[in-house]
Amino acid sequence: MSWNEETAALLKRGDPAGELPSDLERRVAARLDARHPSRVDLRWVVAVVSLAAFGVFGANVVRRVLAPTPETFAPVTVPSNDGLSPRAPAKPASSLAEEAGLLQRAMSAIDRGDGRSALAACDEYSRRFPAGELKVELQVARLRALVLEGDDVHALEALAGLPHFAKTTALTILQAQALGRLGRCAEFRQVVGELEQPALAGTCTEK
Amino acid sequence: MDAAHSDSLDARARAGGVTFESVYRGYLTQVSRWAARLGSPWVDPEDITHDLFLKLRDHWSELPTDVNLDAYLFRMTANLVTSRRRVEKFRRWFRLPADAGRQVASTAQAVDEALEAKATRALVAAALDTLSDKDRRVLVLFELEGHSGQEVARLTGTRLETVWVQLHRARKRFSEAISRQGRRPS
Repeated sequence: MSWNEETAALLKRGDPAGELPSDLERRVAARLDARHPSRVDLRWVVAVVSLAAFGVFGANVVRRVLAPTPETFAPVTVPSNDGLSPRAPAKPASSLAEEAGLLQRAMSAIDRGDGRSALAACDEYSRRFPAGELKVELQVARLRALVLEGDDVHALEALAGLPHFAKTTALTILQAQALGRLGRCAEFRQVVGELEQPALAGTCTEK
Repeated sequence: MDAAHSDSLDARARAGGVTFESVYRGYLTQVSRWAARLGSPWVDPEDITHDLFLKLRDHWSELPTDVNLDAYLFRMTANLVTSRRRVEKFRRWFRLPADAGRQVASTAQAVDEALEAKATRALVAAALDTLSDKDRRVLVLFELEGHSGQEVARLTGTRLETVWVQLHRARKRFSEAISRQGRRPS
């Protein structure tokens, strides 16, 4: 098959451009109008968002670079506490049960009238738990044990070391009794006055 | 048309050149014809036309004022078609049997004029689709567009002697393709 007029005519009859849609111009124009502005806007949006993101990222980087790091400071030397004021030793783990056990032992001894055992339990508590959770309760137990042992001087000292909230009426009576036994009548009368028991004021004999 | 590029268009107009608007109006039909003739049944001329003028508008301000618009737009169209045909060929390789386009021509029966015209267009399209891009361009410009050899050389940017060689080869291959389709020119 060679090229001839018939082939040329066939080509013209079958011209692919012969079936172009009549509204092609309108359709292309509509697509151009619809697409181009959005492309322009999208470019600006992408550019602005990218710049903003880069700015934030850059600011973070600069801030991190300029921010002082721990390595830029001289190491802090913590002075040793050896030979200085006593430092409260750390409480052993789950010590509350043991503290309560020792306190219970002291109170039981007091209830039995065994001041010595009570004091032994208090001493053990103070040795093992110098900053224990039940320290105030132990001070009261020691005070009562000292009274039982007849050591009014140390009992009064222990009473003076109690926080105000722990000074109950019962302890104040103990205080008054100890002061009376010691013949410190001025203090005795003052404490009795606080107890609003003026009848007791004449029972003290100065020593 | 929107006025998004009015500044660049105005600048070009002030420089003594034509405006994008006038080029668009003047070449829209021509470009769509080129797209249809250089393309294939799988290439939509509307898409090519749209893409061409979109690209032209984007780069209008960069276009030299003394550019040969005929040749420039024809080559733009040809390049777009070539690119689109390559993509479509790749898609067809995945989606359709290789002779899917030819089946339309071979099975269509010319029972009336409309069907006959449709069958002829499908036959020609299938035959054109077998040509290389260069052969197809020369054949379209010379046989369908009616350009002279010199004009084809100017539009395609090739030497006149090359145009004649390409045209001879394109005619031969087109005829062979028609023969292979089992259809004879009537």
